Amino acid sequence: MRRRHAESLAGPAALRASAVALIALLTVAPILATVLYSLATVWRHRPLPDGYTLRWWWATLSDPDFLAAAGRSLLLTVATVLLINILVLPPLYWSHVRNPRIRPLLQLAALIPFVLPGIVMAAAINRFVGLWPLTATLQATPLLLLLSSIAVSFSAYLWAVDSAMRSAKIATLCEAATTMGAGPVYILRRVVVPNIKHGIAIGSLLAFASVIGELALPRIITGSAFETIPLWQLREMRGTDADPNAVAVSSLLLLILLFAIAVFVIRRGRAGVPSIIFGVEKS
Amino acid sequence: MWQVEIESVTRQFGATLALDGVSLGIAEGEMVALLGPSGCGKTTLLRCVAGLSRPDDGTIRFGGRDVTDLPARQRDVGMVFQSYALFPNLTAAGNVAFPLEARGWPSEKVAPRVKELMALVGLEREASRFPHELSGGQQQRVALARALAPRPSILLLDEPLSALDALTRTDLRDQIRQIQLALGTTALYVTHDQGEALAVADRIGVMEAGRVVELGPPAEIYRSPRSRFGAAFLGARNALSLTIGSDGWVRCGGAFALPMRDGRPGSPIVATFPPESVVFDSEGLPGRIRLVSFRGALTRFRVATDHGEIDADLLSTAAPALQRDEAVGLRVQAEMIRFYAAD
Amino acid sequence: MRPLRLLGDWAVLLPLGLVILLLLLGPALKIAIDSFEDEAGGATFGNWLSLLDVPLVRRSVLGSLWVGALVATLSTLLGTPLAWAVEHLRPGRRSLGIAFLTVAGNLSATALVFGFSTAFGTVGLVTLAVQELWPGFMGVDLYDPTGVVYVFLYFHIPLFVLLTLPAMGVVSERLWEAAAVCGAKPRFFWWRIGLPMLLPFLAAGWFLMFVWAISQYGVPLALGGADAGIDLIAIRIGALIETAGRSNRFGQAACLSILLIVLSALALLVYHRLLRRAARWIA
Repeated sequence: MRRRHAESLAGPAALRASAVALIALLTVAPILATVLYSLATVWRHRPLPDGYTLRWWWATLSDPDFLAAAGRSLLLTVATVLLINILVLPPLYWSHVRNPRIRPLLQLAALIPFVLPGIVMAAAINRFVGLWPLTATLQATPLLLLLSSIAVSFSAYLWAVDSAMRSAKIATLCEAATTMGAGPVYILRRVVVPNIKHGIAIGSLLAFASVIGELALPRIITGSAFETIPLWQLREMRGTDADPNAVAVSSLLLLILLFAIAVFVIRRGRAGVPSIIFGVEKS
Repeated sequence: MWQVEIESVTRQFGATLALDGVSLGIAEGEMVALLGPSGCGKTTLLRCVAGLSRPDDGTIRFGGRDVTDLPARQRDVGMVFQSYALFPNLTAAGNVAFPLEARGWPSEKVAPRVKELMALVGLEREASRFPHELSGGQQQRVALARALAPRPSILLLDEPLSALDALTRTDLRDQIRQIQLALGTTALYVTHDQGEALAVADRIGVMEAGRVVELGPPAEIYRSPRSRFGAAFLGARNALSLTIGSDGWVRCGGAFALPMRDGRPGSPIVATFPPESVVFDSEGLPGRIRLVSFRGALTRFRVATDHGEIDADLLSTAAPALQRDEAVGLRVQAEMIRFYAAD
Repeated sequence: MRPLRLLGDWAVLLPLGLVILLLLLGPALKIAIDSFEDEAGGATFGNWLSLLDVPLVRRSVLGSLWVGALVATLSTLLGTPLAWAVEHLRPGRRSLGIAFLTVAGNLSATALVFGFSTAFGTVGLVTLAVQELWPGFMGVDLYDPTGVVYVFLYFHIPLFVLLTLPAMGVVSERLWEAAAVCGAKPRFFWWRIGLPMLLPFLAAGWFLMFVWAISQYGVPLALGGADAGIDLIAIRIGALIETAGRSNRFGQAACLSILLIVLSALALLVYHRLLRRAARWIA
């Protein structure tokens, strides 16, 4: 058997693998560090902690402030994701099935939150809403925070679901189903949703991750009146009676939650996340 | 001496044996077509000649020189791909100039050569267009010009027409052949289309499961294929299972009767013959017409007989105006029949 | 077009459209107007002029431009080979790599800052571990404003990789083979074909990373914000809002906000144009 090393497009495998290994390590490092921190009794100037304890975990999980913040965060996030589904899915579906001209508008709309940075929107929304007596009642309310979160976080969902609809060729499927005599509701139930389930799941996951980590909107719109987990963490990080261990534990709780959801979602299909970011599509 | 010599080339992919000790010689200026179904190894063989795939065993020689261990870029080949593979960021002229610049041609020689080739393929006016602005046929012609630019010792074509529509296909096919003949370039042409191979090649190599089972000029292979596979692939579409009679003759009703020199009486045998060897004869094998298919120059009649369905192609100008379910008699011209052992 | 049909085609877009109008476009317009308002409510250019005068404001603008450009450039330089490496991994490892990158790019601001400092800070896990081998290693000083860049890179690079991953496939094995049979050495291929094809995508990525960097609020805030000497437009806006409260001294914040919006919009426009041109090659 005669084989020589062929020049390959991808480059030396060892180099590629080590680059990726390095990245994996660096990615894991902060998480690992946080885990250790949350379990450490004392951690002096040595790479590993002196001792381990579950004290901090118990403390945070029984802290009423934290639990309240967690409750608010989850409420806000889940409500936002549900509403995003309700607001964005129908127009997307319509753009594939009935009115393709909606699509460029939706794509443009999805880019708007990137042009308007979070901090700017947070400030602007409060003032805008305060202009008219009817809407002024919304100022600094959780409801306004909810609506703002929707406006700021729907883009990733839109791209995920749109991408899923395109690759499943929803337009063609629905056409075929219609010629077979199926009604719109039936089509939605039996043809559309099963084929884009994965896209909806990923989109919802991305929106979930985005909202639960939001700092600017809650801080500026509602402030300490509606303390979400990130705000609570900020207080514990920079406040006068800072408790870094609480930050560690809460970060990990959030991470575990996101990880669990992600595993549940991504397990069902290939990791289609990258090709949908910012609407760049791979043919 | 062969211009290109392939000797006992073997290539394995995991559990699949793609090439099984293939040997083939291509004379200078000759166009050899490799014909076969997908998976027969024709593309693998082409890629071995190109240097894109390394054979596990065997030798490849260009003009007597052993090139088996040379990477593709050091071999003196030009290749046309099924998907054109034009560089999207270069113009048509830029694509054609690429192999010249890559090989270090001085710039004053590059421009005239590019112009010459663009004229050869009839695309002078499209020289400064980009690939995405050209049609499929135009792109493939640019690809051809690019492959021929450095005057390669062999031109390799990997199913160059498969991605094109039918009309462009026939036009380009003839153009490729004309250019190859005009330039006297040695060429290896891979295709799964029997008509293409018959039309362009000086010799055809039919491949099956990693082996060359037929090799010869188109007319010869078409008329007298050596193997049953070759017969099936090259137009002897009718195949009837018959039995050798006790007197050593094979009979098929009134269609034909031929003596078998070396066949055991009573053993099964397969008779194959092309549709154009069938004529209508009221004294012949009785059958009923199942289908009449007008195909331009020829009309095909599919006839159901006791021995199975037989396709008969007649010149449309001479074909009787028969319809479905009408009764006919069939006779087969004996010299076109080939027999193979039944498996 | 019959009005009923028109309604049927577009009505589904209404709820989302309303949300965008009221919570994104409306407020943005209000800020634009605000930027020309003085404390009494009259029209003025004063706010804009003060941008040039007030050193704090000037510094934050320059700071953002500098950090934005630096982070974008480093993300592109470091992210490109990494994206190439990831794209050419075996499918199983590739999915894993993408999962890691998604996590790194989407950590919430507080979790990120906490984890980063615990891992890479001056007394961080990785820092201490590296110091065993190389005592001179100081880690990242997060009390120094330049520490911001490191933290930014931590999540910008993964985002860049995820973004340009689909583009990497444009430089295909087939083109590589075509170049090989044309007699091109690897370097010639990359110089004439590979890099020129990738360049529009990388440049697009640069502009997106720029927008992403200048829009950051949560991360710099968690790093200490204005009090820690971090001079970025987003932080300055936040600080101005908090001192302005609900009074009318909003003009400066409004101007900075508009500036941020304009910068983002311009960068996104370039990004979009670059992608559209490059997309012809994917088709």
